[in-house]
Amino acid sequence: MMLLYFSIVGVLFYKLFLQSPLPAKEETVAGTNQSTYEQSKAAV
Amino acid sequence: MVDFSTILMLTIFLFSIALMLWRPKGINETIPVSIGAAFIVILGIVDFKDLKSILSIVSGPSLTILSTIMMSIVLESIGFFKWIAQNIILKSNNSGIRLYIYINLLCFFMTMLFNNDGSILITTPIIIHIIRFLSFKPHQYIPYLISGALIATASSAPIAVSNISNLIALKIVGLDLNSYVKIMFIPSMLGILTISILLFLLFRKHIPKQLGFITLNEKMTNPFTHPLDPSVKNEIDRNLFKICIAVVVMTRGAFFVLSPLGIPLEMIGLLGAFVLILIRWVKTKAGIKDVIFNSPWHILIFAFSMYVLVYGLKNAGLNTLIISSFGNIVELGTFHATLSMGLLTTIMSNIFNNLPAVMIGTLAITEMDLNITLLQVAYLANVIGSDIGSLLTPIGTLATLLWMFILKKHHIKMTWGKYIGVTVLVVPAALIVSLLSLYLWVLLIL
Repeated sequence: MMLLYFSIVGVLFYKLFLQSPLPAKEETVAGTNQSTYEQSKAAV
Repeated sequence: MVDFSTILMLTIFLFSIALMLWRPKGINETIPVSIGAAFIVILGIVDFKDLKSILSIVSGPSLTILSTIMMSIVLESIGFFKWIAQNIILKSNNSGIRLYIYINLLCFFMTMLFNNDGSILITTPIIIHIIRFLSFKPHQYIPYLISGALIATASSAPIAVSNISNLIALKIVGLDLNSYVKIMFIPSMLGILTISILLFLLFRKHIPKQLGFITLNEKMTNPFTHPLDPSVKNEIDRNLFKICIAVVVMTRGAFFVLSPLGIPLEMIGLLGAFVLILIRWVKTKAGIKDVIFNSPWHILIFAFSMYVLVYGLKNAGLNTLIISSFGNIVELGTFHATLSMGLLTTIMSNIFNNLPAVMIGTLAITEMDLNITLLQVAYLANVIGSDIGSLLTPIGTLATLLWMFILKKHHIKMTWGKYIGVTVLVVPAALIVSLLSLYLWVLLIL
């Protein structure tokens, strides 16, 4: 049951946040000097 | 009659917690808690035999949470979260309401797949990045920030593996993961939904209808630029993202499938983190160094020391006080157990943080001589109080405190008054909805 649940969570997560609405050739990612994790660590 | 050792224990406890929350000169929260714990051991309030059992209780949950943090460090390093940030903006397609829904969903899923503190550490900079890029005014960005923080923190209630205090308490009452989810999922999801809807109704006039930003269609005609930073064009590997999210999901699933077979949760979590590190090494040749150096190993000492403090309170007689005050009420039945323990943990969490609060509450109910159903219901009500009720003040959870620190660092003004002004309209309702649903759900299924 929980396997099914997490499969749904995984697919939804992929569809909602990882699948780009743009064609593949336009896939780029924003870069900053620090990762968000490092920014958070620095913030705390 | 309160004796000297009880007063001494209470003083050390309150002093340690006050320093942990205040963190003078930015000291790590582990330091005051560890010093307090050391005093308690030196004074003999907690003996070495107790330390051994404390270690066996907290080590597993701490390592489990640590493994999820390791996973998020690996994902961060491959640009996973930045990719998410830009997709959210594009998929919102110029709608402020859609952006609100996406941010709420992101915070929910991040806590589901990782843990509440990790979710706050990752999603808050993403939200700040987005609101800065969209040049929101304070009244426009507050809905996104507050809803993100509340949803990310409350979302640790539906499954026990997203929150260290839930995991520790789970071990104390001897409940397994699957039984926890069976009872808790529906009531806590109703609470989360209540928070999200009430916040939306509260903020609906402030959420911008239009983002005043390039739409998806316009973006299509403008390739090779980036909505957050058009000057940067780092290559991303979507296949790697797919594999990584599959590993994260499989690890979460494995917690529930393998733990009934006697495989410790921490082993499953650490194996998942190791597989993720291995995949990254195969694909990018990046080693393990960043994971080792960036992982917050101190949470092992933090959780251990916190539990020593709580055990000290128990040994000094605080449990007796709770049992004599609440024992009779809890014994009246599931309705009384649910409401009384949920409200007690809410109050304790908002006075001295939910981690010690849920431990104190759970230790107290284990000594109330309750039947197994009442014990589990009282424990789950404790969890609702510590995960949802604790959101009333910033002191309630470490995740909310982390959130306040991040906002301050980014020069975003968020006063306690402003925070409580919102939560007081949302959290009590969500707490009551969750506790009543827990009571009704238990009647239905047990």
